[in-house]
Amino acid sequence: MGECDRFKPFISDYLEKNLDPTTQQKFEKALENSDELQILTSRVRLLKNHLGNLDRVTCSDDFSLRLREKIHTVPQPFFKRQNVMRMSMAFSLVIVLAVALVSMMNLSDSAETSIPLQGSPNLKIDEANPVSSPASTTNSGIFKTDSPLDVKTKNSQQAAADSTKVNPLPNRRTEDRFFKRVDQKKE
Amino acid sequence: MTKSTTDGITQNTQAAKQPTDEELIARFQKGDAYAFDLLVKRYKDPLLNFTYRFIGDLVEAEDIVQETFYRVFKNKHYYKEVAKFSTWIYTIAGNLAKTELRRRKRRKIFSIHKETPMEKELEIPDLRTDPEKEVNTIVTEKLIQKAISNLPKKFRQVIVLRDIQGFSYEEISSIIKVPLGTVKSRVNRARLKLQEDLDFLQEDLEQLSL
Repeated sequence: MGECDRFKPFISDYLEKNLDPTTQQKFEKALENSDELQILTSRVRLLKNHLGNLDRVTCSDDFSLRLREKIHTVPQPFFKRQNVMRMSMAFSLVIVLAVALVSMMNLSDSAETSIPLQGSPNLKIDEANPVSSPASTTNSGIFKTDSPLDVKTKNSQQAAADSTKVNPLPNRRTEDRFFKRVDQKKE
Repeated sequence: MTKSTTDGITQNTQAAKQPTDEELIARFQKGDAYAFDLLVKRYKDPLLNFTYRFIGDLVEAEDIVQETFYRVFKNKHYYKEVAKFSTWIYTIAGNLAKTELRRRKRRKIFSIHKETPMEKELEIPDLRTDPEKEVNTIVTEKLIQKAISNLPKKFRQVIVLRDIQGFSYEEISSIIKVPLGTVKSRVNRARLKLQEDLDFLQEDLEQLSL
């Protein structure tokens, strides 16, 4: 391996004065001994200087104008990957919320139906207007010919007695819950 | 005399008041469009030089610079002040230039497959380049540009950034995301390769430098 090949990797560092003093001394000694290395180093220096002095190109006059047009005319893609990701996340969140809401409603409904006559809207109507109560509807058909007034009163009395027999506290709660829900739906 | 001195002082204070790139991008991130205009004004020509020397075509180089600024505009909030603005924008331009080179390579492969012998014969020489009319420097410059274009991509990028754009090795290392030692080695090898390719031009270069 010749002196030139050995010191080739250090040419740039030598030209830019990045060599440590020891290596620099060795390089300069090699320069004295090898004509080939000397020629190569001077040519690289020349080339380096020439590259630094190459003509500078400049942008066309309408560069800024075209850039402005580009910025304002290039449409923003709506279905970008990020947007699609965000939209799918939001959509899945909505679905999860909807499912949770429905399941909660089902749970509350099942809780209501487990207590007999509680939470039934007709019960309220029963109490308010016994004539239109479900018990009074049974006062048609065969009972009509008998003593309807008695049956009616018996039934209504029975219903009223039933409603008073049942613990009124949960009944009121379920009623409140029902009316709240009705109000929410109206809103 | 007094006037020139005061002019000098005024110029110095104006130069001192010049906002840095990082200040400008920060202003732009807050919505100041004028700061973006200043950045465009500051960087359009250096970026064009870089991309032109990298890909060797002025029209395409300008398109790449346009795209670079467009991306800066669009992704302004991605810039964080941990790196210099120049590093960031040169990285964008360099990546776009590399993409363009890859695209060009694919096109070239495709066109070679499609090219018939007849088409090859019909290639018309460029008559506009009259050697008698051409100035020596222009010819030399074209040859140098051609030699740069023939360098492998990784060598081309570092030599353009170092010798034409004048970046430090550390800055180049940040721009191309390669260790400092590798950058130094690549620059040296690129110079040696270029010197080898332009060996026939040495006399012209010597004359030009005189």
